[in-house]
Amino acid sequence: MIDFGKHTFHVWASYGVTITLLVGLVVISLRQSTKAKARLAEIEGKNG
Amino acid sequence: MSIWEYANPKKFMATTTPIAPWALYGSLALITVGLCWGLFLTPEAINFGHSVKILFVHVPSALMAINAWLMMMVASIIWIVRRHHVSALAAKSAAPIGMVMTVIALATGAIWGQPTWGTWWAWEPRLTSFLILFLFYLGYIALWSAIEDNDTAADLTSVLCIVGSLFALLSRYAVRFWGNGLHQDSTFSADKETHIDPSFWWPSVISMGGFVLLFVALVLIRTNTQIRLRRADALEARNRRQS
Repeated sequence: MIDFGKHTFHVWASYGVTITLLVGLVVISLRQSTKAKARLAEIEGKNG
Repeated sequence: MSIWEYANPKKFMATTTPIAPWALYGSLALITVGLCWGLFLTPEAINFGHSVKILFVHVPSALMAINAWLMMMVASIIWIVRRHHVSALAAKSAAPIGMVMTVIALATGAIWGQPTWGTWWAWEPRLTSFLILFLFYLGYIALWSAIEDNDTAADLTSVLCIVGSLFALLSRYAVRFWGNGLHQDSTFSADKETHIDPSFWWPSVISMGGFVLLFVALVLIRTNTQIRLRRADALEARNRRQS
């Protein structure tokens, strides 16, 4: 880990929080999208 | 060709489904470049030392926290005036993204405030208006979840969104309205010179571009998800009536 002097914790904590939340948001959005596609395909399949 | 053609859910999905993945890839590439540039290749600032590197995550997230709400306001007005379901669903889809951006802005702001101001939090105009904006996001999402009828939920959340827009604008201009807080005025501005050293300019702009594109990509993906769920619910309801 690169040393940013007395601000090392602050810099890495900021980037850590940001990247974690953004990755979480993207993953959740993609998983919801996949589930919605599967659910709609199943219902449309039943309806012919 | 009219923009209102895209109010048709099928047309909207046909147009945006191929675009969304590329917007997502592009946004992730821009964010990666902007953050790596800002983190590894920018010098210390005279006033802030290395803590200035927090700028590259704090400013874009704060920008999107406010602009996501303003986008929701426009979509809400379109719903109220023209009753296009896609616009209501787009506003609903944008809310969690805007809320996450607000959390990032508040968290990185607190982390930056500690070495700069000597405190994690102060009840000053910019910070307080951002906290209120976060509470509006929570309330907006809770209201959508609490009401079963979709049109009623869209009506009430639209009113809440328009009222909350006052706080989104206050968050943007709080420092100018009450110039007695800790927070500085905007680093970037369209109507005057920027207050940023050229060595920080490009990574900031690239990072902001990445955040904007990520917002667009996620709104498209999440709106398409909402349209599919709405269609699935309608088909299930029809099947129940027939059986």
